[in-house]
Amino acid sequence: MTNYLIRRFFQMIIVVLLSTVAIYVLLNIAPGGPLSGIKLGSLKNRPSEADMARLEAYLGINKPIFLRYLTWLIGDDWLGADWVYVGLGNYRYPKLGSDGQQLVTNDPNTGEQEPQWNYARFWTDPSPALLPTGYTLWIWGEKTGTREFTADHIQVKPPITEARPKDLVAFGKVVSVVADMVTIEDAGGVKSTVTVGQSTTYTFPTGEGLPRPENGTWLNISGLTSSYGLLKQYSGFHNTNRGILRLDFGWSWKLAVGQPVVDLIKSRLGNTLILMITATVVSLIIAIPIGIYSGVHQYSGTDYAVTTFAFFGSAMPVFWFGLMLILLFSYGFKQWGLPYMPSGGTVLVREAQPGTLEALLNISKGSFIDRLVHIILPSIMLSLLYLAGWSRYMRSSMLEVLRQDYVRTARAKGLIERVVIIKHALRNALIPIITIVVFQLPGIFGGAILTETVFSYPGVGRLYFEALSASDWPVAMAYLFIQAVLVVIATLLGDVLYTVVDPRIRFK
Amino acid sequence: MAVAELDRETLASLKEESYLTIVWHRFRRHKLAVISSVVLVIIILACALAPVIAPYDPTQSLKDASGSILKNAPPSLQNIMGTDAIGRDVFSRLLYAGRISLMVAFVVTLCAETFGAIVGAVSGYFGGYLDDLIQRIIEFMLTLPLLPLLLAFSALLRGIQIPFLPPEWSSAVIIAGILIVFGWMGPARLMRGMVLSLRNQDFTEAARAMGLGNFGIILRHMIPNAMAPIIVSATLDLGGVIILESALSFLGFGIQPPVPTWGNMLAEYQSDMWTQPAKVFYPGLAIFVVNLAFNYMGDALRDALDPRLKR
Repeated sequence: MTNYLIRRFFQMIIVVLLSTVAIYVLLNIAPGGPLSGIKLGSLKNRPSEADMARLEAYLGINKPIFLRYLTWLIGDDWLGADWVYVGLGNYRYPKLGSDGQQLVTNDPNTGEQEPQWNYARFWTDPSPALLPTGYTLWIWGEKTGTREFTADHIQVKPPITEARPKDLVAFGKVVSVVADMVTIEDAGGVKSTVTVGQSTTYTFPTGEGLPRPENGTWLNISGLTSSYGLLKQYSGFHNTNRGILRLDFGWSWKLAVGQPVVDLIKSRLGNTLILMITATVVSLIIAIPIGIYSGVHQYSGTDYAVTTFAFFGSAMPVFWFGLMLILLFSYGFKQWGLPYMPSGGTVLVREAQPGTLEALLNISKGSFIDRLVHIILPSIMLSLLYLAGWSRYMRSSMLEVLRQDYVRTARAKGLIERVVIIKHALRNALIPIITIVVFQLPGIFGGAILTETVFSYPGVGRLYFEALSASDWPVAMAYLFIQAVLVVIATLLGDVLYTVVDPRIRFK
Repeated sequence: MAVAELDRETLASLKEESYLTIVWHRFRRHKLAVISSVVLVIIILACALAPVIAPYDPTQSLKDASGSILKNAPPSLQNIMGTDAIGRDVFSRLLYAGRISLMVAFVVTLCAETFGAIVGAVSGYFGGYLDDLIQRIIEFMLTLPLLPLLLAFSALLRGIQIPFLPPEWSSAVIIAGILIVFGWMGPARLMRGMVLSLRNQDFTEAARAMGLGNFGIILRHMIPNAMAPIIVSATLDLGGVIILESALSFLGFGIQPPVPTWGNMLAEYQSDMWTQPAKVFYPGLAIFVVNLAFNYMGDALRDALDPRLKR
């Protein structure tokens, strides 16, 4: 048994890994993608090549696919580099050692020393408007005229102790910033203008004192050699990935830019659980008794009715059935002056309107009963689907068991029919049902995509649907990953439970 | 003797019934299945002959006498199901949609069953490592959550244009392809089971003794002998494929408008539900009726084709 479980466990890991590789690669090499909408913008609004490159860098989709998959799987924070996905544009600042000096790498071949940098990325364009007035700038670049420069690199507020490098083209204090023109003033009061381009890079000092920026627009990264917490607090953006194996699902690209996927899922999970658990429990409570009844009374009128119902239920397109429910209970009831039901949502948006079921029951918005009223129609829709399948399953399971010898023996020894059915037949007939119930596990978490869409019900299934529509791959990947994990767990759980309830089954 | 003569007479008057006749006689006993086949034939003919039957072009916006577009017209003699939000005849669209939906269903089922049957037969016949590998692949694919994956695949591939095809056909072909990729495992398992039991029977030995190669045995003996359950599963799958395709199209990940399918018509008319409730009814009803009919036929075929249920 232990050996079997261990083997199954490793198989599970392989299955999940393989499926994530397949899905991740497919999602990410597909045409279109998250930036396709931006590329299609009107000529005026279309971003430049440099902007696109920065966007790609921001989303991390400029890296090779296997690196992106690895990042998704195991994160990139352990790489040592302080990769901080905070926003658009690359910023770098010195990587300091414990002695406060910038670290250097020695190239073993040439003996040359390379300074080490930390990199940060910012969501906002690195607009020169963000350069703080009154701070000293060192400017590298080209001289384009008398007291006119274009900047390749700007270092903000260099350390006083450091000698001015020889290759500077200009330096001075920021006086004013207009569009991409920065006016600086040197110690003698001589003003020069510096043109800042899209490709200009910036270095920020390790010192203190830069003003605290607006959320998500600009970031003081001084002294932040290792503290991601501060970055997060300043920027409002999620930054590094810790990888899905450490339960970091990344952050949303499109649906809620920069928000952790975990938060998105959490915000929807409650709704889905309420709906799915209600539908599952209701279906089981109804399906098992009617399955038993029609199995015991095979070919009776009730049996025919149940079988026909199951047949119709499984042949019905559920989404259409949902629409018909809305037509009848929301649209029709309203037309006929009956108390009509909400056609979507989880709770009332405003106080109950006269004529609705909520008004009739005098329900205040947002209460528990309000929620219940909203899940009546979706759970009827789901229940039909489950009922159709499960009652048929229960019926055939019951028929199978009733043919067994032990049932005949029980009858032969004179037990009354009810005891035979409940004590001998039912117990065994319920065994196969266990697998079905266990297989609800991924469904309970994942929600019913169709149901949630038809009823505009903000659950996890609908989140996945929205993520796919918007090419928000991190959200979609998180959903698929969790689904895959739950499916393999449910499979294993089903198999194990089978041996527990049916001792005849043994593992090899 | 009288008895012997009678026997000879009876035997002479009895013609041997062919397999198909027997099947037909048994199938006929399932009244609902007979009705279903009639309904199906009518629907399939109506859709196949859509260019002849449909009163209007499915993409044409109709205009009334004054020349303005006939938006959301109620049912009338000219438009028996009314017109939609941009003045297209709903009935004509329904027929053309049926063409696509049924065509996709037939193509997908045919391809998936054929591919599945061949894979299953090879897997069951040769056994060993090949069988292990194929079974693991099937198990792996059955583990994956179907609808989410179908959605993901369609989201990825729907932008692709297939060369040499009219653009409106591309998405239909892609959706069909995706449904085939995720639809062959059932028939493959079924076929494998059949082949495993047929492999050790005497006629297989005989065929091998007569010098028939492995693939000859598979094609000439295994597959024909295992045909009955495959036909049943194909019939049942037809309905399932129609539902899946319409669910994808309904969610906007299937075949893209303006090509009408029952699923995307349903999605289109969902937004007019509060003003034109009747229109949502028709495409769904079409899916429902066709699916139900395939299910009943499958049920009846299962009984009719089962050799163990003679009489």
